[in-house]
Amino acid sequence: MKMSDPLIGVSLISLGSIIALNSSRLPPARHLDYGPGFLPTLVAVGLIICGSLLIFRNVFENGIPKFWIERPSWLSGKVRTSMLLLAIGIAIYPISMPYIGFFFTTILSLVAIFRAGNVAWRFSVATSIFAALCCQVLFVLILRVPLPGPSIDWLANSLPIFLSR
Amino acid sequence: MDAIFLAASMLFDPFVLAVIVGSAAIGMVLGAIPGLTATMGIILLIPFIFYLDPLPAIAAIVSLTATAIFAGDIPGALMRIPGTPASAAYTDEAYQMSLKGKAELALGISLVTAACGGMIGALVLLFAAPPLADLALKFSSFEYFWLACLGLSTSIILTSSDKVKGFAAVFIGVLISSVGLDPLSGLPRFTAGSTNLLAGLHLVPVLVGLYAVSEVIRDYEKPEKRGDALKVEVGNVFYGVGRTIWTYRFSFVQGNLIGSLLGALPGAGADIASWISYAVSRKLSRNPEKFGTGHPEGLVGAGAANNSAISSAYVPTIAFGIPGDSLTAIVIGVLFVKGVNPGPTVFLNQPELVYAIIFSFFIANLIMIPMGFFVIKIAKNIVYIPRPVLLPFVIVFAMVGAFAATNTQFAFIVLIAMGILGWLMEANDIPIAPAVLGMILGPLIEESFLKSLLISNGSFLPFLERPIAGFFGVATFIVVLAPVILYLKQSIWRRTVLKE
Repeated sequence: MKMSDPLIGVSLISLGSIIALNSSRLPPARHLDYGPGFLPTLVAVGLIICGSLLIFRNVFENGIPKFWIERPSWLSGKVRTSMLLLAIGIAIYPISMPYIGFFFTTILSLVAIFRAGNVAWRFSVATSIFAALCCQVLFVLILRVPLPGPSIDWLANSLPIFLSR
Repeated sequence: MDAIFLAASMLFDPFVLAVIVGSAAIGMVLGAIPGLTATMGIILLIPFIFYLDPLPAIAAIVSLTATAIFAGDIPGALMRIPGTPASAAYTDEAYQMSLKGKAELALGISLVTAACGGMIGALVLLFAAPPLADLALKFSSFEYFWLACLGLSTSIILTSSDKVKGFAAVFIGVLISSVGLDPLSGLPRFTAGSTNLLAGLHLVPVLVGLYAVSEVIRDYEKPEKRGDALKVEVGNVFYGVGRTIWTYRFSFVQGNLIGSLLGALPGAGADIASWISYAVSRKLSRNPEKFGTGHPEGLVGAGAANNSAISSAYVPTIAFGIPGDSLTAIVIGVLFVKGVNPGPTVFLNQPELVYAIIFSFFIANLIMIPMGFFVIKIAKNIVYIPRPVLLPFVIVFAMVGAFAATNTQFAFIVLIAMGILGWLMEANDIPIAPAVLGMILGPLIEESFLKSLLISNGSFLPFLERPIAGFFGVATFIVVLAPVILYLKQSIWRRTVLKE
C-alpha cells in the first residue's frame, strides 16, 4: 500500500500533533522540570519536522504536492483470497487461543495459511496436525512454555507410549 | 601458573566437555528459531544448570550463548528473519547476499567471524579485564546518554538513501519504546488505560513482528515475486571466507574492537555492538553505497562484534560483579547460588575457576565452527522448500516466540500490529533498521538524560564537562553534522562547476 511522499508527510505531521497534544497532558513529577512528556514531545517535534520536510521536498522537486495512495494489487483476483486467508491464519491466534488452545489454533492457522499459498488440501491438513503435535511436544512438554488455552498434554504425553508400543 | 593448569584439567573433564557440546547444540537450535533469543535459552536451561557444579553451569551458559548468537544469523540470511536481536543489524545485508546466490558465503562469514570474535573477546577478557572494567566503572548516566545518542545518530547512517525517512523511522522507534510507565516518575504513557501496555512493548514480539510477519505479508501480497528464489550453491561453506575477511580486515578489526569495548560496558550488549559496528563499517568504507545491497563488509565487522561483545560482557561480571547484559545478570545469579562471589576477590580465592570460565569461551567458539558447518548444511535446505509451505511455520514460531518472551496473549496483538507497521513502512521506503535501534536506545537515552539532570540539579554543563562524556558528545555532533557539511560542500561544488 504505497503512498505519495506528501501524504506520508501529512500522516507524520498528524501523528506528531496527536503525540504533542497527549504529551502536553503528562505533568512532570514534583520538583522536576522534565517529566514523562519530555521524550514524546521531542519525538513529536521530530515527526512534524520530518513530515514537513517530505512535503517541502516534494514541492521543491515537483511543484504542487500530489496526494495519492496506490490501489493495492491484492484487492482483486486470486491474491485477494490469499491475503484474506493469511489474515485469518494470523488473526486466529489472539482470537481463538484462549478458547480452543494452542494445539487446535495452530492446526487452524496452518491450514488457513497453507491454503493461502494454494497448497493442496490433504497436505495442508496432514502437515498442520503433525506440525501442531510436534510444536506441542517441543514447546509445552520439553521447553515448558505455558501456552494458553485448554491443555492437550494427555495427547502429547501419550505419544511416547504409543511410539514405544 | 598452577591455576591455569588446574583450570585446564577442570575444563577437559569429559562431563564438562559433554555439557559444553550439548549446550552448544541447544543454542544452535534455539538461535535459529526466530523469536527464541539466547536469554530465553539460558532461562530454559536454568532448571538443569542448578543441578550442575559452578564450572559446567557457567560453561553451559557460555557455549549456549555463543552458538545461539551465531545461529541467529542463519534465518536472517536465508529468510530475512533475525533469529536473535543481535543479528538484526546485518540481516538485510546477509539476505541480499543470499538473493545474489551468495548465501553460503554470507553464512560462512557469519560463522567464522562469530567464532573469531568470540575468541578475541575471550582474549580481551583474559588480558584486559581489570583495566576495561575500571574504565566501564567510570561511566555514569552522562556518558551513557551520549553513548546512546551516538548509537542513535549512527543509525541514520544505516539508512541507505533517504535520510528524512531514516529520521522518521528513528522517531517511530523511540515513540514505540516510550509506551508504558515513565522510567523516573512511574506515570503511565500512551497506554490508553490498558494494563497490558503498562510494562511497555517487549522487544521480542516487536522485532519478530517487524521482520518476520511483515516479510510473510509481503510474500503473499506479491506471489509473482517468489520466482526469484534463493540460489544456494552446494559446496564448501568456508570457500572465499578467508579472502573476504582479509579484504575487509579493517572492518573485522574494528568489529572486534567495538564489540570488546561495548560488551565491557554494563548495559550495552551484543545487539548494540553489532549495530554500531555495522554503521562504523559503512562510515569508514570505501564503498558505502554498496551497503544494503549484499556487501560482505558490514557482515564481517558486525558478525564479529556481537560475539566479541558476548565474551567481553564477562569483564565487569567477573572482575566487579556487575552484569554486562541480561545474560551475565543470570550468570551472576548462578554464581551466587553456587557459592561463588563474583568480584575482585574471586581472582584471589578461586583463580582456577575464573581461568576455566575464560577457557570455556575458547572451546565453545572452536566447537561452534564444525557444529555451525553442519547446521548451515541442514538449514540451507529450507530454502528449497517452497515458500507457501515454509512461511506458515514462520508464523507459528513467531507466535510461540512472542508468547514465550512475554507470557501474555497480548504479545499476539503486538506481533500482528508490528507486522502491519513493518509492512507499511517497507512499502513506503521507510527503513525498519533505524526504528529498531530507536526502540532499543530510546529508553536508555531518556533514563540517562533525566537521571543526569537530577544529579546536576538541572544544569546541562556536566554533559560536556566530564572528559568521557565530552568525547562521546563531540563524536555524536560530528556524526550528525558530517553528512550536513558534506551535503553543503557538494552543493557549493556543484554550483561552482555549473557557473564555470
